Amino acid sequence: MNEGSSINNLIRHMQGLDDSQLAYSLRIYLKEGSFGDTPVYTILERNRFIAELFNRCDTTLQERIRRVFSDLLETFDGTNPKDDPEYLFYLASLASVIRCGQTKERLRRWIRQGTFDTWKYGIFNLNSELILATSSYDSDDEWVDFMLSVLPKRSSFKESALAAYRALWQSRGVECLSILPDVLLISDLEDVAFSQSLGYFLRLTIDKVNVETFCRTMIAVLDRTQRPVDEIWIIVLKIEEIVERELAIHKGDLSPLLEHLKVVWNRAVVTWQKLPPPYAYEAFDKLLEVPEKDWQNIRLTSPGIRGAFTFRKRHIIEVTEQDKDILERCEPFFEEISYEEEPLYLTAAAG
Amino acid sequence: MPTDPSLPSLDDIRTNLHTLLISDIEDLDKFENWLDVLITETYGQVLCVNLFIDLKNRCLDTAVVANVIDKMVFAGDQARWAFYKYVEEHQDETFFNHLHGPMVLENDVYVRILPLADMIEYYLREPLKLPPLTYEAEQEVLERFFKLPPNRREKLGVVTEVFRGKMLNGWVTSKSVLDSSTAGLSSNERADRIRDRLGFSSLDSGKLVQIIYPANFDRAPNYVPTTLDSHFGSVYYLSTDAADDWGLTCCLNPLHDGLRERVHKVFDGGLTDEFEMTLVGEITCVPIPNPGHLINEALKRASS
Repeated sequence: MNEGSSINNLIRHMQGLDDSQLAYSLRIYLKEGSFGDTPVYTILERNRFIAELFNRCDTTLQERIRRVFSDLLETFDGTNPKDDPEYLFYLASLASVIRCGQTKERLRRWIRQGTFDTWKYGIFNLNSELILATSSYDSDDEWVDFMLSVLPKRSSFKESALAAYRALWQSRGVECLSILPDVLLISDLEDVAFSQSLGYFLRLTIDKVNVETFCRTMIAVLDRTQRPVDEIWIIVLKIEEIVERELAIHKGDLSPLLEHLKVVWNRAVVTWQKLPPPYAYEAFDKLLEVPEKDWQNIRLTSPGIRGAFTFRKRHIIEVTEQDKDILERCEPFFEEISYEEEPLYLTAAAG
Repeated sequence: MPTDPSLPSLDDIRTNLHTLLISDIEDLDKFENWLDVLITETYGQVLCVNLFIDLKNRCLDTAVVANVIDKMVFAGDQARWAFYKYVEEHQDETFFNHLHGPMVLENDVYVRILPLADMIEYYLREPLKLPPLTYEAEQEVLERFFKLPPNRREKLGVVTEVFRGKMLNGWVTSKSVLDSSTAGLSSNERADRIRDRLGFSSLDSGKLVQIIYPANFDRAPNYVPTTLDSHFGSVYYLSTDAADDWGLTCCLNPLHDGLRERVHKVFDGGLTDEFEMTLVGEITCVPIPNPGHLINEALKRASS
């Protein structure tokens, strides 16, 4: 071949290559855009082109490409400057298309080990891309357990939380709601990109499983959640917020869930009332997402809470006038915490 | 490659391009060797004519083109590849160089046409965390963006960041011309026709979508494209006369004209709900690229 080539020419060319030549050609194409020595006429991105090419190959050639592709993954070396994020991005993309058992195991090993937790290519978090690639494979209980129990504890979870939700949705349907409390805990719903994506997933879930099943499953998830009280409160507040922001069209149908949130909230208050003061006080600080020492002149993002600050040794929480619900919920804290020198006051600020 | 005898010959074009660039070229031997090889390649001939059109019509500065030729790595073969490899690796200096500068759009809106799979790759894959390159991802987008009742359909505001891919520009056409030129066609006929008229020569299956830009779009300056906005895989790109304030694509089918085109910078901040995505249709027939038609059309534009 010379000058340039397109998909059908390349397929014919590939059939004449042995496995090592095939691996070399794929690697060079993904890195440099020419197939071996031949530039490729395409308007497609490299990963899209190889996916198209793979889909058009006969089964014999597909099987060889699968074998060669898993070798490319095995030999990817993150410490080699030539094995850069762009190349890993292409490999991760193609792992959803060129599927084989070895590839699945390699992807899982990388995710388990957190090998590429901090890698990015363009707008893509590559650990998320690896997690998404695994969603094209069968999932087993052990893997789901890892996703639900281990992944959320990692410091990098914020970057991969939405991918984890998506991967669980792809493999286990509505069971993905089990990870929602963890996703909400690390989320900043003021981040429009995050809340819009999460809103999309929740609408998708509701439409697919119907709103009754969604509510029932979410209630069950909340009821079996064993967490510190401040985390329970944050989860409740954030569910309310995401419903307000992104699920307005379903809000009426979500009333069983919204009603149940009050039960969950109050149950946590009862637990909180039994905590000794230092722990109770700490829990309240966490709810406000800011340590006590930083309260002064801080504006908060929690729904309905305008700000919290100290004034003449009094801790004051400022809530929006229209948010009576927040006001009622905060009241038990102020009744229960009894610091003689620093009593806490609650005000409903104007406007 | 057959050409119309009334049109200038490729040798004439080569000679004229040589004359236009000679005073700005530093490495004359490399330039002449490159031209000799370029004129032997099928799509290299088209590149040669395109550069001539851009320079003759004062759409590109000769110094900018000469700079690419001087700096590209040319090893004695693959002349077109050498040229575009430099362009792709130096987009910051090669893009948006049309000497007319940014264009204004009046009484019209822009439309970007692209395959659904590209729409997913560039716009939707990251925010929706779609499983890459899969049938399932396409089905989900079709369902969520097109098949739900209108009040529940997803909107493009969900796209808070755009993947830039290998090229940092976006190609758009005129909605009014597109609509009038495809009126009365079924959706699949429309997809085939638009694919042909936009010169998408490597696209032989899949669905086409269009992103309709908001009226008064001003998120990025837009330009008439030149050869330096194109890339190696875009073999049907043809340059146009400076008199028009739009570019003009070359239709794959000689029976139809091309469509208007402009190019804009990829802009930050994603899309908004004011951008609208609609489904054009399914591509049903394999394109039959006709290099003879392409070079004839190029030569016609060169002689006008």
